[in-house]
Amino acid sequence: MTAPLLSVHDLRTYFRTSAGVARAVDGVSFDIAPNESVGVVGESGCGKSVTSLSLLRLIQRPGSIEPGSRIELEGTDLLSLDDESMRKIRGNRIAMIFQEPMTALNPVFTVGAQLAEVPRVHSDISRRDAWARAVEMLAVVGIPDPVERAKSYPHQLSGGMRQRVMIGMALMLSPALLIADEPTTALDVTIQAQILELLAEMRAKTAMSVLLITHDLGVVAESTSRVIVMYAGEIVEQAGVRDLFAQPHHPYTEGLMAAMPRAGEKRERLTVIPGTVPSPYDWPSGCRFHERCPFAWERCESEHPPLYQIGSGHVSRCHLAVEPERRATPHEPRAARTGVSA
Amino acid sequence: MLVLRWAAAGTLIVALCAALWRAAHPPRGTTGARAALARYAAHPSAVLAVAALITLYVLSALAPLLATHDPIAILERSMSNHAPSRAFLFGTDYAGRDVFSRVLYGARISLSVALLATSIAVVVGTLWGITAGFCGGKLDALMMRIVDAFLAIPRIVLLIAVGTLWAPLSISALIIVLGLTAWFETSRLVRAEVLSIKDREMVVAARALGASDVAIVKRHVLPNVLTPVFVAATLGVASVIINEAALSFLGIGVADPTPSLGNIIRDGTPYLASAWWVALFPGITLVITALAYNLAGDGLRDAMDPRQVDR
Amino acid sequence: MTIGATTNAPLLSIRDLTKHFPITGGVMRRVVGAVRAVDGISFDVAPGETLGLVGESGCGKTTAGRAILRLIEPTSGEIFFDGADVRALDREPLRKLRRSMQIVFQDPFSSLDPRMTVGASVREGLTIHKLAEGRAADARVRQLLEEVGLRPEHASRYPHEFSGGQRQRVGIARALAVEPKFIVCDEPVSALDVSVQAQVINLLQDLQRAHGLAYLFIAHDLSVVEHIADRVAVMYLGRIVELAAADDLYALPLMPYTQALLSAIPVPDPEAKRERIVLSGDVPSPANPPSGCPFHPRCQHPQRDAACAAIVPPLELKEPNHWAACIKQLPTRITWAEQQAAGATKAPERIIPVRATA
Repeated sequence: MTAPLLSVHDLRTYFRTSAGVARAVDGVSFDIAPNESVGVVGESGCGKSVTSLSLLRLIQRPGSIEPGSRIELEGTDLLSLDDESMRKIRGNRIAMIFQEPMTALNPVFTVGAQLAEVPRVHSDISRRDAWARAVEMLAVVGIPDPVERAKSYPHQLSGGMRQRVMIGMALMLSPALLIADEPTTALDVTIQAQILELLAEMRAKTAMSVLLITHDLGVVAESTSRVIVMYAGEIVEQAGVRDLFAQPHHPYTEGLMAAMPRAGEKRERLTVIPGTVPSPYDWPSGCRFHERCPFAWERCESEHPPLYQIGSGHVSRCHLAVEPERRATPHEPRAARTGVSA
Repeated sequence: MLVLRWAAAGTLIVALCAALWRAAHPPRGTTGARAALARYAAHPSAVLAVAALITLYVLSALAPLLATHDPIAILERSMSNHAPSRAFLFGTDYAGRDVFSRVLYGARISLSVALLATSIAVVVGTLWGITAGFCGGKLDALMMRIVDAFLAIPRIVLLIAVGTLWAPLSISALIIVLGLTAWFETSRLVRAEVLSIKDREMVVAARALGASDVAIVKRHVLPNVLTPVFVAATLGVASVIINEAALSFLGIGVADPTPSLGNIIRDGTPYLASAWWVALFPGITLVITALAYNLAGDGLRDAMDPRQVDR
Repeated sequence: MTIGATTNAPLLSIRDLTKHFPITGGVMRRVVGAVRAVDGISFDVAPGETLGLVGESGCGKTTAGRAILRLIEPTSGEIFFDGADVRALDREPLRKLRRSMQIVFQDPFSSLDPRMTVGASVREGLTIHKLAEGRAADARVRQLLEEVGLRPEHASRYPHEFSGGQRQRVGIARALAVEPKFIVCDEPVSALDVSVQAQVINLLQDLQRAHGLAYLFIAHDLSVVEHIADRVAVMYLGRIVELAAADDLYALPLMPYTQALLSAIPVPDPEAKRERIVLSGDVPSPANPPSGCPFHPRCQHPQRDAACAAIVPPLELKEPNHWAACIKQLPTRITWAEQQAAGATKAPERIIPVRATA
């Protein structure tokens, strides 16, 4: 097995406010191999975005990465680097694209200028050469008429094109890892298809790894080879994409899959996960999902489950791994009884 | 006797502050006005400011009970420009009047004039701004051009012009004049808020329910507009106080012998080197009041937004 | 010819509804063009039915929804609701009609007044139409909150204290308060997480069954629409390009655009074979739509030719209860002669597409 490109170990990112401590990311560990596409799935409040920001050390006060966390890129511990060295990593070895390209791009500079800025920040390249590379990148990401388009401002481009520009900016220096935080959520479905295809093309060309964060299981099924499911600041399941969809283990994963309406499969009623996502200020005791789980029993309330090995490369944070017979006796989750709906 | 009255006044002030403080620390989870009060109490400067304002208003309201002497009574000439002493806490002015009592009564007038004038300004400015913002079109353009025209004239010049034309001004006339010259910025502010609220989806929602325009203004526009208005109003009181003092200083405002902080300062200005106490004490009172209103207004801004929760 | 109507009299009937937004330019702010947000749409909605209206951003579906309720004044066209000519109504009668036609918004945060308690927001409709006052109104508010799955005590809380899904429930309760017959659901679940979406969709369906409501369900997520709608209309650049029963549309999309839309949906199944039709380019601006068929620059129909750029295709009946706007799909009333006159080189055919994904 090759050495991992990125190795995250026990990442904890806490936000300390006057209302208490929000444990947004509470002990997350995973690896990303070179040339691998990993998906992180979860809903709002699960900590996936905070995780990605932590990887690039973009967390601002009152949040901070707790001591004891380790993030290693090709062997180098990113958390021990000084600011200057970290800056050299951002955009260069690890790049990030965001959900809202309109807010991530600077409205007062042309897209060409913003693209050209990337290599200029990291090396001594001349302005002319940087511009040439910018135009080249616009062509690579599929923007028609790149020479003219480079002189446009972000607001003159459509959402899909802006996202392509963002991808271009991220790829300017051929990073080893691209973190894509919900890159297509704000886009129409046909444009989403284009962007996902573009990302696949780029991966094929540059052998870059991608960490794709999304709430859309369909996107994950298509574009990734390994999936991490997050809930309440933790990883609750991790598996190869085929295994995850063929045999989801954690009840939350199952619930997510059942809650999605699928084109071509009409059902009477969508299966629902009752209750709401808990607050990061106050994670429930024991298993954080137990109040919404149809299989929970006493152990789940008192004992916080570790990540059990289910199969090859498949782990699940659920006591059903050691007491699988409990699956035969589902009941109404406690959250459904107390009648608190989302 | 007097000491007892002062003690009573002091107790009243402490009681009011304590009650407000208690109201400002509600059990966790309350919302609405009490939560706003709580957020307000989190700013120490704002708290001090409110305490100062309570003190000033209570003391000046109770002036007739708390003053040591008659503020307009001219004592013997020989008592003029005496330094502060036990009998005359702030000394006497050129005419032999007790400065302490004059400051007390003067504060009463200045503070109430400022409050009433600002109320007029807020009401007129808000109505003007809502009408202009909500109706839009040519009416809006016309109304705002009128505001622009008045804003182009420096306020103090305007006040002096009006004051001299109608001198001497009674107190009520003074209040009206000060009020009617202070509403322009408020109307601009209100109009801007109305424009932004008008397009918000919650207004579309109200229309979809079948609400009439009047109902929409009353129920949705007005409450959402009031926050910046209140903030601006507290800051506005500060400037009205200064303006009134300036007018009285110039002799156009409150006329002799009725004391106002401004004309007491005027009386003391020729004697600044020798009888500095005459101008100093009303000056300090003026500064404290203006400062207190400014700090109170700042705190109000954060406190009144119901969405400012620690989320 | 009633487009896609049921045999009963339709509750809502739209004909050639248009909304153009003028573009002003120049120093004197003259009108230099128009954004053709809605460019002549027609359909019926029967009582108790859900019509889905799908399309991507900029297709005009949100504008259409609001124009139907006259929250935006239509430029032209006819709207008939329950027999009444909606466009001809004066202010007062229109206000009264609003009881019967309600709307639920996409953003549950901005559509609720942050300074009003949730109970006050729900109660607003009761007050406006004088349906209940005082204690009776309070009771009704509590009942409505319970019906949408919230607790009655929540009436005294403010919107910011609730989650997105709960706020959306408040919006639904508010719309229900006035006892409407028809609700425009403008992307009601797009801003919500998947598990919350499911809860709200189930709620909307339950309410529909309980109260006999008709919905115009506007969305860009085709899976959601397929689940909840009886019939679906597909919009592109302000026009309806396809209209059919939900099952028919998903089984047999006739329009190239619909086919592309359906194939673009990421399928949560890594084993599925993906023959995706990826469209090139972006959606053109509604201020400057292409000539003829709005979709022709991106169309991959095998028979596409110059005539498509010249002739605006009418929405026609192609299969039983299945309308589509394509001159290359038989049957069509644009004759071959007419097409040739416009530069056609390929004859229209009757192509039955095979569903792209498993």
